[in-house]
Amino acid sequence: MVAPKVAVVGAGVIGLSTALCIAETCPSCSVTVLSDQFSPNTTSDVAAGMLIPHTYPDTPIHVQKQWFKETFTYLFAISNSAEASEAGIHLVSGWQVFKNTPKEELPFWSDIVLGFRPMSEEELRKFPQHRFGQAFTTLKCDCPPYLLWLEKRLKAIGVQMRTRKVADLWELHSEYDVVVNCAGIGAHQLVGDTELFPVRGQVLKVHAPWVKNFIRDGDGLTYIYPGIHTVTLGGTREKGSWNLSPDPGITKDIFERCCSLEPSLRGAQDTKVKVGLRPSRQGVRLQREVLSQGGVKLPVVHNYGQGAGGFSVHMGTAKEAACLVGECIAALQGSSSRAKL
Amino acid sequence: MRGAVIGAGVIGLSTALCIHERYHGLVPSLEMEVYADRQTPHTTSDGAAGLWQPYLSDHGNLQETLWHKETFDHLLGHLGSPAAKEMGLFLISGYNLFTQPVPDPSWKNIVLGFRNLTPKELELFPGYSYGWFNTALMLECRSYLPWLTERLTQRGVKFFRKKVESFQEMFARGVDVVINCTGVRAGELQPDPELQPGRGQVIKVLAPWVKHFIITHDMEAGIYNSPYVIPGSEFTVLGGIYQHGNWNEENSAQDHKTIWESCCR
Repeated sequence: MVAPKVAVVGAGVIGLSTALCIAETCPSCSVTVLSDQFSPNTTSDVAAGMLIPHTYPDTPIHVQKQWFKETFTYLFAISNSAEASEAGIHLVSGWQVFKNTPKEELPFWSDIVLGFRPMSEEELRKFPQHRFGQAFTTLKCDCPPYLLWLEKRLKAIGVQMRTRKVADLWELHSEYDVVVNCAGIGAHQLVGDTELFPVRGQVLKVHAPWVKNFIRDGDGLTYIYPGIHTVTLGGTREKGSWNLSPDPGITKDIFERCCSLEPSLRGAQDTKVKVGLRPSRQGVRLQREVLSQGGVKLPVVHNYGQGAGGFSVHMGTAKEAACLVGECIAALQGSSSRAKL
Repeated sequence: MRGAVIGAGVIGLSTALCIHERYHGLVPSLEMEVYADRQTPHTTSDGAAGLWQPYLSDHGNLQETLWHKETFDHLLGHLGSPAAKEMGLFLISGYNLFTQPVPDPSWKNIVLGFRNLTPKELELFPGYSYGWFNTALMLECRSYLPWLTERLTQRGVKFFRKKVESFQEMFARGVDVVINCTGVRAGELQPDPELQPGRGQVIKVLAPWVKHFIITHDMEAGIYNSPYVIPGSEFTVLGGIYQHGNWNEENSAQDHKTIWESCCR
């Protein structure tokens, strides 16, 4: 096989980073990103992009930790370079506060973020309803800048980007040798994965440039994440809801919850409301599959289901997906040389 | 009873407010006035980025440390109030960097969450091998001074845009008590050889992705003669110039170059 043709379905953070890893590890591959949506209309664009991992019940912790570590290391290097502002990557410090002491005092990622430690009593005084807290410094990937930067890097190394709604992975079998499924929530329909479900998140993006620290309630429902130009206020976790329309009652509720953590937000301006459907699953689906019809085979690599933790693990899962693509190509080349015999 | 504050920088205005708050009830006839030839945004205070951070050492001067604590705690108390945004007051975290280990500062227990930097954090700052992380406060004078002026005006304090040439001039006007908050030019009213200008120059840039202050220290070059980056609510202030004895209020192209290059590093 001279130049294996790889299609990546999906142009969110998972699709774009996966395409990048494939193109970098397989320079002879011709990679194309196919998606019906590109930034700023992907699920990733709604997310704040904070590197605070979500825990997947069905993925081994050491794997999740590895994914997070790889992602953090990769982004840390960019944040410390002149490209940081274009890529939308920046460090941000802040606090995770708990009304009740959490079961595990040290999350698995505490030694990967910077300066992780329990909050002092003086710091906790700012949060009278909370009894325990953790302070640390982590990274934030602002979208759209990060996705646009990934697109720019992809184009620079010859990756094509095509707007196309793929209804069925099989429809790609004649044009591509390997298909990578990074369709996120779209995988529900695309491959009929009933284990994949949306967790609806509504957020507010406001202008409040004096907010320099993040604040997150340990229950994961209320958070304040300062980005480059806007502060993301959240949120909700509505399991099973496919509703993409902003709900004004929820907007008000999010605003009140965030103001009780950070009263100065009452002076925030230019509120924009956004909704995203987190592509959630008990475990990330990161595996190979071979589709076949009538003797024709199509190797597929699935990389979706990162749910609330997409940004936190994207590079780690992208690298692993690229390895799986490499295995698919090797298998194809092996079988094609066998065919010649 | 007439009291006159000379100077409308952060010291003059806050002093005037404290006096009025404390004595207005006790002395019903109290009339306060503020005299200044320069008001916001042209005072020395307006040039400052507004980061609350004292010098590294109080040299054993406990009174200063108490003043620091009182100020910090007072401002911290205002953080949750609706006035905070108007005051230009907000929390900010950041880094102090050194090329060698140094003793902890006198204010380590005043700021929030003071700790040493971890090796991974120091990777961000090549050339620096030691440092601190803490959360402190920003008080932006371009908001704070107008806010103080508004509070004073509401209390009936009168403002006079006027250069005061002597204390005598005030007494001749019938002022009973003069409060001298003239800052760097106090020597014009009463010679004080211990008072010297510490000229600073800054560059204000738009860099809203920078969320932390970064203050470097060069023990040989002296305080604030080493680059610093302080993100405000709109602009990020880059600085690192402290010239003792220099009265020049013009920008220096050389200083501009120094600041820009050292901060980018």
